[in-house]
Amino acid sequence: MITPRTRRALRRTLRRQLLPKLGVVMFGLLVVGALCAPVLTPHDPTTQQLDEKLRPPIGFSGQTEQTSSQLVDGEVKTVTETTTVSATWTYPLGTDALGRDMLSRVLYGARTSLLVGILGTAVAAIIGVPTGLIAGYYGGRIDDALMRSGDVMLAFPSLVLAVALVGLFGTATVRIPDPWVVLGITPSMPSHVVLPGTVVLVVGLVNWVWLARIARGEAMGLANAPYVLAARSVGASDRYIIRHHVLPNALTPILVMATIQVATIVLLESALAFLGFTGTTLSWGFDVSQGRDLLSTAWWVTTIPGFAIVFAVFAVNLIGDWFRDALDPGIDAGGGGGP
Amino acid sequence: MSDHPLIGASGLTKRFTDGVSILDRLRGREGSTITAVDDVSLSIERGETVGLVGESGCGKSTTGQLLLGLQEPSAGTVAFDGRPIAAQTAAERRRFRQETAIVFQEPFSSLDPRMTVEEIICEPLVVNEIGTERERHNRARDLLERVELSAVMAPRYPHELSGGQCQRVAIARALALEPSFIVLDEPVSALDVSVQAQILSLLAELQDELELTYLFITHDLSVVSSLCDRVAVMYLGELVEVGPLERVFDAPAHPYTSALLESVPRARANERDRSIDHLAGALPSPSDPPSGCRFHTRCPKIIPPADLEIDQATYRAVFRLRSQIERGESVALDEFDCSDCTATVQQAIEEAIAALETGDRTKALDRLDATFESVCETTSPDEHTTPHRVSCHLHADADCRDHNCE
Amino acid sequence: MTDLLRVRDLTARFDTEDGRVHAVESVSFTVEDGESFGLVGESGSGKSATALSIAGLLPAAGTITGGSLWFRAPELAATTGKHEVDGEFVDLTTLPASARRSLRGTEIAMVFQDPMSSFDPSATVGTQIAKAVEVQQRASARPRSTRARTEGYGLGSLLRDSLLPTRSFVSESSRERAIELLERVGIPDPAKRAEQHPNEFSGGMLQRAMIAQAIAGEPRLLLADEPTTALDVTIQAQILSLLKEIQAETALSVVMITHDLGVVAHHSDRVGVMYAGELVERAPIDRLFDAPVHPYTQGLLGAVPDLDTTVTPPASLSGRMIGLHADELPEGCYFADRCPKAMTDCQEHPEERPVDETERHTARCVLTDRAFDPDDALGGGTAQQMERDHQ
Repeated sequence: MITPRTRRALRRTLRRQLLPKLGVVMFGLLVVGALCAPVLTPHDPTTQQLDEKLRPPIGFSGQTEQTSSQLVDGEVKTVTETTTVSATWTYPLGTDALGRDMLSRVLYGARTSLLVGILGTAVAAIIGVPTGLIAGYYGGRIDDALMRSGDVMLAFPSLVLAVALVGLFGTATVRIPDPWVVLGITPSMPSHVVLPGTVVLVVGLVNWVWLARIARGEAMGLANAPYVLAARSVGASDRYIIRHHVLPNALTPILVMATIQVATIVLLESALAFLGFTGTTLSWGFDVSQGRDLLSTAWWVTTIPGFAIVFAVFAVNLIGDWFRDALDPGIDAGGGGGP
Repeated sequence: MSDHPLIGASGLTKRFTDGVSILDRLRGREGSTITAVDDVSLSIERGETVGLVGESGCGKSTTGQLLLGLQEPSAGTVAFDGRPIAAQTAAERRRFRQETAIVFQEPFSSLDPRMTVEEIICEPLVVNEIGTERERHNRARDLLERVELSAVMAPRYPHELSGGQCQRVAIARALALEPSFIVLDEPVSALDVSVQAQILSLLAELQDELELTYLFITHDLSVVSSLCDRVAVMYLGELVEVGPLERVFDAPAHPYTSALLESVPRARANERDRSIDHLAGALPSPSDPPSGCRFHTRCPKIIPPADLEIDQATYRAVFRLRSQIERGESVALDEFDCSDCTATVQQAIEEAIAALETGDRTKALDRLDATFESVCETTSPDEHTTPHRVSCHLHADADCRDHNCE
Repeated sequence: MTDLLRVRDLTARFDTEDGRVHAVESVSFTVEDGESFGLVGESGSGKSATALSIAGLLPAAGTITGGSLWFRAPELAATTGKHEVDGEFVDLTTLPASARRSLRGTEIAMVFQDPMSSFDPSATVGTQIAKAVEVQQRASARPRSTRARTEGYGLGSLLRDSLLPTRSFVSESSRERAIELLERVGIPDPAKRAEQHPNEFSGGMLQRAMIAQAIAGEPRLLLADEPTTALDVTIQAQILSLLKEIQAETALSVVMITHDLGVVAHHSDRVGVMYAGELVERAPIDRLFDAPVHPYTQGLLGAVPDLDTTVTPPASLSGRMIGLHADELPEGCYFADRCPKAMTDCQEHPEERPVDETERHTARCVLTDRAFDPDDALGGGTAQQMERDHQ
């Protein structure tokens, strides 16, 4: 599917430009972090240590305010006690309101985000690519029907759709056993990775239209390519042509679009988790929502997962740009200007 | 079996309607219809090469694709070996697909950039499930040799080949199913002259060896002369002249054919001194073709009404004036010099100018039409058979002489 | 006749992903006032790169690495600066970029192959030609300011022109001149046509409009790069005769770049044949067609199908052109591997030498000095050629 020329172009862009390198490194860190979370994390991300709660990240100090009512000289008074909590290397990124280690939560959160990002894009591609290819290849009424239904989908607010589907199916979580735990390497860690099924479905349903549009545009151009006509002239079926000529030649822009979709979906997953639709607590969006009441006193509970989201989206977008720069022949083909 | 031509088209017509979406249809809007191919009848005998020439947009490529059943005609039929292709059974269709092939103009875009040369050449075999992998592999080597390429090309991708090599691969692919009829759609137009000559002689060789029948579609008349037995000239979707190569080239019967032949610059030392009496204007839009004979807007030999004495130059000038008035363009009246004209002509023009000065364009036009309207504008010419198939009013008389009509 | 342009040993290189390409190699020719010089060659022979070098429009990857372009410009020659001057002639390669730009349009203009992509689809044809006129007029009003010539294309004036509705870069007189120019190139109803966008023009009409734009600044040299290749023959004939007409009227010199020997034969006074970046033969038109010396020219002429006979042209040139990357170029003659008359001498790179005493006919071939000797032959270029084809 990927020709040597494509591979060469990818390598060349990677070698020449700084941003793709950065993207690859960032994305690599993310993947390693997610895959090896059980060995990399110092603590179980779900264990609560109430006496260690709201510790700030290294380099900062935090203050915990405790308000209590006390009887002073016969009167009830509200007393605010401020205790200063210092950072400790045991919790390099601090802890949340329940004393859970933020570093561990960020690494485990990466698993959810990447899983939803990649599987959600896969769902979107499975729906969108064939729809788009068929719409573009046949054109006419088939095109109208398929693409208009896509437009309806786009017009429908994704959060409302999520509410409806969660209402229908529940969160439909799938619990995947964690190999590190099964193999007994890190027995004390959470034993399952939780995949929020409904969320994957929702993000897929919301985003397939973008992939379908790209696929359609490519297929429209390819449907009349001379080599497609030549294949038709020797009796090739439409199925054969779509499979062997249209799809491989449309793949590059679809791949670029899909990469960018991963970033969009990571964001959408965070939004859904923020609203509590995911059915797992190990998610960046969920952590952001947990910390929103503490913003004035413990900013890191929201900011650190927030940074993680930005980091992931940035990494994926850089990789998407790299693919686009390397694979889009339109970019470096500059023409001569007029007099 | 051989009493039928290999390919016979009669009354072939193809209309395209452009860009009407659901919304437009709801609003009751009709798209504009373009008749790309209009009532074309052409038969091709076994082993012969017919050249189909014309300017871009005249419908010659569409005709080629209609003959191969790659597009459905709006009207008319194509018969292969005497059997209409619209009535083919699935098995006949399969055979028809194997018996025919097509080669396109653009050497690079006619090959799938993601396939190797061998995959490209073997595709027709794969699609029709012919042979084992081993046999296909060997067949690909044979075909490469046949088109004078070496077997080392087999694993390469199209972008590693030159234009000429790509075109050889495209020819090899067309030969894979051992067809009897190949449509060559501008096969050498994108190539350099030296490569052009190589491909033309390859095509000629292959035709001799494999007893192929070609339809050679091109806009370049000079490449027609070396390969074709007969030539068909197309203008705005219609065949205007069909005849044996020598007759059409040496004594073109249609003014359009003569103009085409004259327009080609010759690569010769004395070419500079040859003044080309070139055609005026551009090809009219096929969505709104001229009335009568479609060539009359550019024709240098337009026929004046029988009772009118006028020389061609003045008649042409009057004609231009009429179309300017009709299109509502500004008119240069002072350019008109008809001191040599007959009284009828002078009177008509003077009256028209008078009407124009009062701003009454319709009246001016009506006055001119009454005196100057040509048979070429009003009536679409019939196809005459003398000296060969030609659709032009100029040959109506000759035809009648031979057939004693009226 | 006076010379207008003297190209001397022009050499240009392109830096690509895969290394240095020797696009133009030591090309020399002269263009006289009012004459038409044809530059023919197959694709990749360096003819377009030569034209772009003269116009100073080489893309970023290309550079002129040697030689000189002497252009007759007495006014410019009288001024002092870093540029090299030889009498009335100025070496274009030594001019600073701004002075180079100021010559474009007023002295040297260019017409390209594809008129559709040479016009901005979002502006009317009239406006685009009027802009060219306006730039020339502002430039002649303030001859020393090269800024005036580029004004109107910059970001500042774009903002100003679009924000202030009453402001317009193009003056009324420029618009009128644009309509005159459209009429000059034979566009019917020019006032109406000027208000139309490029997509409403046919290819032939647009090519006429491009010629109108090119002659807006009354240039002395027109570089026409395959101006008729994208057109039908009947339209090609119209455009060629239009160019001839304009030349006859204004003493414009034309360099006609084309792959079509017929176009050259029809239009040019003298011709240069290019192969693999080099000018292999240069001659007056009748000499070239009647007595070509270089085997490549002979092969090329042989390959052209003749409309007036029905003989299949012999595939007189086998194989294909060598690659132009630095490491692919042979020591000897670049054509030797395809040449039917290659001899042992051809292992050395030939110099450009005159064929006759007039020095108007030259060729880069050993055959200028000696006749072909079959005993000395290199064993037919075809063998080597086949070998490379099959690699």
